[in-house]
Amino acid sequence: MNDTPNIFTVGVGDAKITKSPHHLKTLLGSCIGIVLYDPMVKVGGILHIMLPKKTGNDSKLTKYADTGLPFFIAQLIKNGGATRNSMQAKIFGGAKMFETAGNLINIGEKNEQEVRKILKEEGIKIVAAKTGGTKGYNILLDTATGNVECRIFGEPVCIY
Amino acid sequence: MVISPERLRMLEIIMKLSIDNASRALSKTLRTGAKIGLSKIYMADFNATTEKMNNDTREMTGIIVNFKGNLGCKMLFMLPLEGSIILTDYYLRQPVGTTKEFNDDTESVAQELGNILASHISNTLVSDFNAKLLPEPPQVHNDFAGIIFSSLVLEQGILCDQLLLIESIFEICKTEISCYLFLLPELASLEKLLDAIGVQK
Repeated sequence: MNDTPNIFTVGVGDAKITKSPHHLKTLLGSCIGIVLYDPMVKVGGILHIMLPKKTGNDSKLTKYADTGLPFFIAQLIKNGGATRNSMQAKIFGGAKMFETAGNLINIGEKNEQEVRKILKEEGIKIVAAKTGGTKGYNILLDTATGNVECRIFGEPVCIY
Repeated sequence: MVISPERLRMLEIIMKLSIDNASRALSKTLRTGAKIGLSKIYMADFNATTEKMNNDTREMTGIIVNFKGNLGCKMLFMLPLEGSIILTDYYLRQPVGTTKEFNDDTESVAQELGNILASHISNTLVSDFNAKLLPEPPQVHNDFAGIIFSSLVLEQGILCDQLLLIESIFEICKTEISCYLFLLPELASLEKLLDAIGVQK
C-alpha cells in the first residue's frame, strides 16, 4: 500500500473516492461539491455535480445530483468500506457565475436544494456547508482527518 | 459526435486565419506585439479536460463572449489578474504601474479587448464560412483559471462528453504576460456549416 500522501483531482461532473493518507481536490463554480467522509475507516470522496436532475439518456450518472448521490454513497460503502451510519457530508459551491451561462444562471441554488433533499432522504447528516456567492471555490479534502480546506477566490482559507 | 480529420484540418486553417487576425488587432490596440505562441484545434474529453484544468488555481481575469447566429460559439480570453492591470495601462497609453488594482477601468478595458477579439474572429468566420455570428456583450470575471475554463465548457459538457476546442496562447511583447484564447464552437451547427460549404466528411 502506498502511504505517501497524494493529491487527486476531481473533474467536473465526476467523482473520486480515496483513503487516508491521500487527498482529493476540486474547483467549484455553480456546481456543488459533496464531500462524504467516514471517520471510522478514514475513507472519503468528492462528488462534483453539475445539475440537479438527470435529463435525457446521458449515461454519466455523476453529472447529476439525483443519480450521482445514490451511486456515490453506494460506491463509498461497497469500495471504501464506509457505513451509512457513520458517514457525514459537507457541501460547497453553488455560486452564481458568468451571466453568459444562460439558463445556468441560478443553477447553483437549485443544485444545492436538490443535494440537501437527497442527503436528508439518504439519512446522511450535513455537518458543514459553505455555498453561494459569486466566486469560485477551491476545496481540498484530507482523508486522514476529514477536514476540508476551502478557499473562495479573494478570501482567506477556511477549514470545515 | 466525432469530427473527421479532413474537417479538423480545414477548420484548423480557417481558425488560424481568424486567430491571426485577432492577434494583429490586439497588437494594434495595445501598441505592442501579441505574438501567437501556440495554436491548436482538438477534440477533448470533457472529464479529462476539466480534471486537468481543475489543477490550475492561478488567479485570472476571464472574458467570455457568446456568439449567436447560425454558428453557436463561445470565446474565452483569459489572462493573469496582474496582467489585466498592466494591459489597462497599455490600453490607456499611460505608464505601466499607474493602475494599481483591478477597478472599473480594468474591467472596461477587459470588455473592450473581448469586443475587439470577438469582432475580428467573427469577421473571418463570417467571410470563410458564410456564417452569421453575432457577438453578445462580453462578461468579465476574476477567478481561479480552472473555474473560468469550466464556465466556458459547462453548458456543452451537459449535452456531450466531447468538446471541439481551439486553443491559442498570445505572448504580449515587452511583458511576461501570457494570454489564453479558447474558442468553443457548437458541434451540430458547425457540422451544418461545413456541409453547406462542401467540406468532405
